[in-house]
This record gives sequence, C-alpha cells and structure tokens, in this order.
Amino acid sequence: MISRTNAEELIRQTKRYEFSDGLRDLQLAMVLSTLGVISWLTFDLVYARTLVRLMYTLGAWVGWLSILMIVIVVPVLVTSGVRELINHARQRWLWRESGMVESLSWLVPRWVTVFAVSIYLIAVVFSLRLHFAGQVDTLFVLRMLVVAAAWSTGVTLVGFGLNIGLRRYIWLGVIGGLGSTLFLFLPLTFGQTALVFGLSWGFTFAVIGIIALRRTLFSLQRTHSGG
Amino acid sequence: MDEIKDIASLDRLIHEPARLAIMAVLSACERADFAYLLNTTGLSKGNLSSHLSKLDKAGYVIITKSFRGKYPNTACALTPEGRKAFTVYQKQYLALAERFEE
Repeated sequence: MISRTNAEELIRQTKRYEFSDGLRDLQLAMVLSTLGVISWLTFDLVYARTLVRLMYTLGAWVGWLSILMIVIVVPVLVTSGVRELINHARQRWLWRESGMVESLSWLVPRWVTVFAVSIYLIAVVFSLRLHFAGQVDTLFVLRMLVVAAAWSTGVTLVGFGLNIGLRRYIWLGVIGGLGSTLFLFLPLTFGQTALVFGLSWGFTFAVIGIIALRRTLFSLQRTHSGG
Repeated sequence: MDEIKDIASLDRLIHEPARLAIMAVLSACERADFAYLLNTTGLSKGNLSSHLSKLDKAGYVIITKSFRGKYPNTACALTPEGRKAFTVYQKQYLALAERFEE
C-alpha cells in the first residue's frame, strides 16, 4: 500500500533520476570549462593582440569569424554535442532497462533562484561602492563579477541538491561557493579569473560525475550478474 | 462530520494507491516511459496498463506510442488538468493528515 511518504519518495527519486548517474555532472564540467576558456580568450589581452594582428594581415573578416566561432559556434557545438552524446549513452546502456525520464525543465525552487540572483547583485553593487570609495581597484570589481557568479552557483546548487535529495550537490555548492572567494585575492586578470573559475568548477564536476558514474556502472554490472 | 466530508472530497481516481504512485512519478517529470513506471511503482505490466488507461480516460495522463530505434516505446505524461488535480489532491491530503494528527 502506497502512503504519502512513499509518494514523496517516488517524487524525489524521479526528480534525481537524471542526475544520479553523474552524466549531467560531466556535461556541466564540459560546459563550464569551455565557458572559462572562452571568457579568457574573449577578455584576455594576449588573444586580443593576436586577433588585431591577424585582422591587419588577413582582413577584418578574420575578427568577425573569430568572434562568431568563439562566442556562438563553439559553445553551441560543445553544449549540444555533449548532450547528444549523453542521451545516446543513456539510451544504449544506462536507461535501457530502468526506463527513460525527461526531467522537469526547472528543478530549482523559485525562492532559491531569487536568493542566488540577489546575492550576485548585492556582491557586485557592494564591490562597486568600495571601488567608488577608493578602497579597491577596478580589477577587484571585475574579479567580483566572477566570484559573485560562483556564490550564486553555490547557492543554486545547494537549493537544487536539497530539492532532489542529492547530497553531493549540497556539498559542492557549499565548498565551491566558499572556496571561490579565494579568486578575489589571487593576482589575476578578469579573463584569467574566469578561466580559473571555469576550469576549477569544471574539474570538480568532472570528478564527482566520474565517481557517480562508476557507482552506477557497478550497480548495473551487479544487476546483470544477478548479485 | 467535517472530516468525513473532506475524505469524500478527495479525488478517488488519484487516491487509489497504484494510481497515486503513477501520478506521483509523473508529477516529478515532464514524461516517463512505461519501463520506468514499471520499475518504480512495482506494478505488473497488466496492472500498470489498466491504471494508465483509467487516468488517460479521465484526461489526467497523455500516452504517446513511438519507436526508439527498433524498439517500441510508450511515453506517459501528465496533462495540465492532471497536474492541477494532483496538486489539489496533495493539498487536501496534507490538510486532512494534519487534522487527524491533531
């Protein structure tokens, strides 16, 4: 006989189904790393200098093509490519017997989203006030843009983890959010900070994704061998 | 007396345990296929089919049959009415449970 508690557990189990095998984490790892590299390429002077030199020698179209590739083509290709790869892997191996689920489009409670956006805005406004008071330089404000994004991401992950009942997202949100505060004090440019943010979060997502995937594959293997 | 009225007002179609399980699963996703419902609810194929068609007839669930590669696939999703009915049911049930606890 199903009780309300069972129904609630079924709801949670279904919500976290798509995230329990770790493939979504690997997808996020790819997307975040790519975004980090793109931000670095877009904002770092080394790239800008190379681009200007190429535009002088080959023509202005090189600049437009490069911007189009970096800002639109590469992110779209990476995001859709990884998603397709994951869907294929799931249909072929992971979900063949346990069944397919299409997740709800938004699994983060609304108040968490509002809270995350508020944190971002407050942090940025606060750093601007410090800047205008002459207490911090422009680089601090630019770094704060990345750190505030990390704090919002952390809060969103905690809310998401609580909603679907997956503890690894709660831990990642807390540790990643707090740890990213370090970026404020590193002697890096804006582009470099974005790169470090993308790569460090991407690496962490990749590690927890691989651990979750390993666990899923082990349990699949055990089911197939009748253990 | 009020409690009896409240119990009577619960949606009987959803209140049945197997259908409650199906509605709970479908409320937590956009759509799920037959295999997933079978695994999570623990119902037999025949039972699941029969409950799904009752929910389909009531307009709570929409069932789509297609092919995934070479294999047939049955996907189920809650209709907007089904989602609304399940939310109402949850609220009524919660209120009722609280009153019984008191």
